[in-house]
Amino acid sequence: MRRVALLAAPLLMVGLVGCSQLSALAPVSGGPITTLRTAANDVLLEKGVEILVAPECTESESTFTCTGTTIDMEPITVTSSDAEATTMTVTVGGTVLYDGDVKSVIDRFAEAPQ
Amino acid sequence: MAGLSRRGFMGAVGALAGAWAIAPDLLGRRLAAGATPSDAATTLGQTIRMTGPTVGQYRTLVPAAGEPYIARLDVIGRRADPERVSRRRSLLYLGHFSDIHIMDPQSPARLDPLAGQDHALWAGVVRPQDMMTVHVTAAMVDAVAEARRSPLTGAPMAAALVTGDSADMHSQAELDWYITTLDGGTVLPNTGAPGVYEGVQVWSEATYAWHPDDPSGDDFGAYGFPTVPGVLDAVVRQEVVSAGLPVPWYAVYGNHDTLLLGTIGLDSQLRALATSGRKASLWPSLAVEYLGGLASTGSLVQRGLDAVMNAVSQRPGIRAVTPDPLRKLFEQREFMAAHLASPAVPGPVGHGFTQANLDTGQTWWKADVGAHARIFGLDTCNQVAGPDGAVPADQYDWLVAELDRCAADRRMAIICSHHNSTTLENDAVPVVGSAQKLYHAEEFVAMLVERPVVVAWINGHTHINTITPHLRAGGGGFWEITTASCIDFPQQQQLIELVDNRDGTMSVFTTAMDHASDAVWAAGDYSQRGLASLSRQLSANDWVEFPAMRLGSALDRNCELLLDAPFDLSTITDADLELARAADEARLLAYEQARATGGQS
Repeated sequence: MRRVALLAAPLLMVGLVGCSQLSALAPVSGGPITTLRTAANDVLLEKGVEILVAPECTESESTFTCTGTTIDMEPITVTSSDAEATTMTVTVGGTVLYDGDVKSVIDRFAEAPQ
Repeated sequence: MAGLSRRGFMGAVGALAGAWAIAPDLLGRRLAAGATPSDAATTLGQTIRMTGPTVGQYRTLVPAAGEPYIARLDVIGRRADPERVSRRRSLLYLGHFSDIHIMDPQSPARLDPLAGQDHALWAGVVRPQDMMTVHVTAAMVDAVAEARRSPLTGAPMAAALVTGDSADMHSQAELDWYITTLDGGTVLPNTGAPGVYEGVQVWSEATYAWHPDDPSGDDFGAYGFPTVPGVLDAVVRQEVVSAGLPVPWYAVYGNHDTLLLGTIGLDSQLRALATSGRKASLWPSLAVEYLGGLASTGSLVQRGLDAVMNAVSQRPGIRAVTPDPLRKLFEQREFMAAHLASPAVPGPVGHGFTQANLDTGQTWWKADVGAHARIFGLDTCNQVAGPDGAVPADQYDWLVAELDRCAADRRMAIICSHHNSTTLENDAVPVVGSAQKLYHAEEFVAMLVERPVVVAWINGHTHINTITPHLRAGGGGFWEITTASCIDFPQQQQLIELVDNRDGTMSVFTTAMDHASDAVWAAGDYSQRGLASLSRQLSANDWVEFPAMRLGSALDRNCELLLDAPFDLSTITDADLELARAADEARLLAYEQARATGGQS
């Protein structure tokens, strides 16, 4: 049984890679940028920020930066400096609104208030 | 902007009442009363959230406060006139379905055993709620049907758009069930042995799957998934009854409607496997079965396979199941043919596809909906490999010409596709034969954004509520609206309404919809809606992924999306809109009359 597993696993991979399908088989989902963007928007709304342009996020060399604008034309900046965007800093103008974990923000907003 | 004259009103009422076999005075009274916002259940009034805070453990769901509309100004780039609220008039009201993933989990062609190798790597090949997709979709049809008049303006719904991934595993059974559920009818979501569930959720060696009768030995039981005895029997023995959508619905291809599991090209061996009496329960055996299909040319893969076969005298992990021809993997054209074979009501016959599509093989279409809108249904799916998409050159060129024509015709353009702007990047081309250019998101969006006639691009694919502005240099742009799915949490779809603010701007309102089942699943409730409720609870506990993320933020759900009007909307007269409303109301009254009498209109 174990021998079957050891041989069959690479064979399955070979079969899928040969069809350019291996990476593609993973289900579509958001990835770090989507998660970061969602959490940043949650924070901005919770803090009562009036948004003109919601933050748009880009990735460069494992650093994520999102920029937007408030209705009063103050810059919104969201930064995350790890490859999976696990933490973020949300700033409006010169004020830091949030500095911490990304996933816990999303979890909190998916829960009913206690 | 003058409305209908009395003579015009009476004439319209008489003609429509005759066409839909409804009493003229019923339609006349309805129209004369004017449109008032519907009090149908939507997430404006109440939605559903997780219990907490207990991340990492099995959680139930509870009702939560509704979410009001949030005005998004990204595209107009300025404050909105607050007086628009009192001036607005509805231009078009739509339902939007996407990624409903109707599934036959008993098919031998499924790849669920791969989860046994690595849940994270093969996330999505098996979910605990796989067997209840028809129940969820029927409950979503009910929810959208209940909101057939707008919660914002009271306008009657004109149509629904279905942006792909309707048949999860490319099987004929799934295709039939999906169309029946949306058209209205009865589905018994079972294949193979009558009344008996034959699949990984009852096979003890498949420890990667949730076993509702006894999860103590599986990975889901270890996480805290409950025992739900007899639920599989209930699923395969109880028919699902769907009232069907009350409006015409239009469909496009998704990658799951194009490739196996939305990713893998179909071949004759795989087709044979789907209708066979052998189903894998363990991934090494699936690998051998699958590679047997791939290695039909005596390739390196075949030689490797032979080595495996020589290494073992028998293969555990292959179960005998009852074969069923309904599990056959359909051909690309059969997807369109099935839509063309559906009834005239709710219609339209073909659901966007026409006989010309079937004759030519062209898989994209256009349709005029409402008084001043044109829908463009694209096929962004790659027919070679991979879940993500692109826009082939022939379709791109067609769309460019059509959008310019649309602008000349003064119709608002709504683009419909399965893929969204984060997933138009697939470069897979046939190994043999010519390949045309595949346009990716950057070029495609640049083309759309330069055409003010485009007001919205509606899509799905990522199973996440997402709203994205696309801005034109110098001002203006359009909105991209991506809805969540029926398969993954939060199992939401949406309503979309276009309104004229009568100040040179218009707004696109989006309203997230929970399906019509209780937020709290009552243990032992195996009714049709009870199973839909259970499905949502199970989906919220998909520990392989991050279900909470798929909600998006509040900026992705109930929103008013402002943009500059694509043309002078005062050229759309109130009389035009009254006629359109009369036609849509007549259809809805016929639907209501048919439901009241237990028949179909």
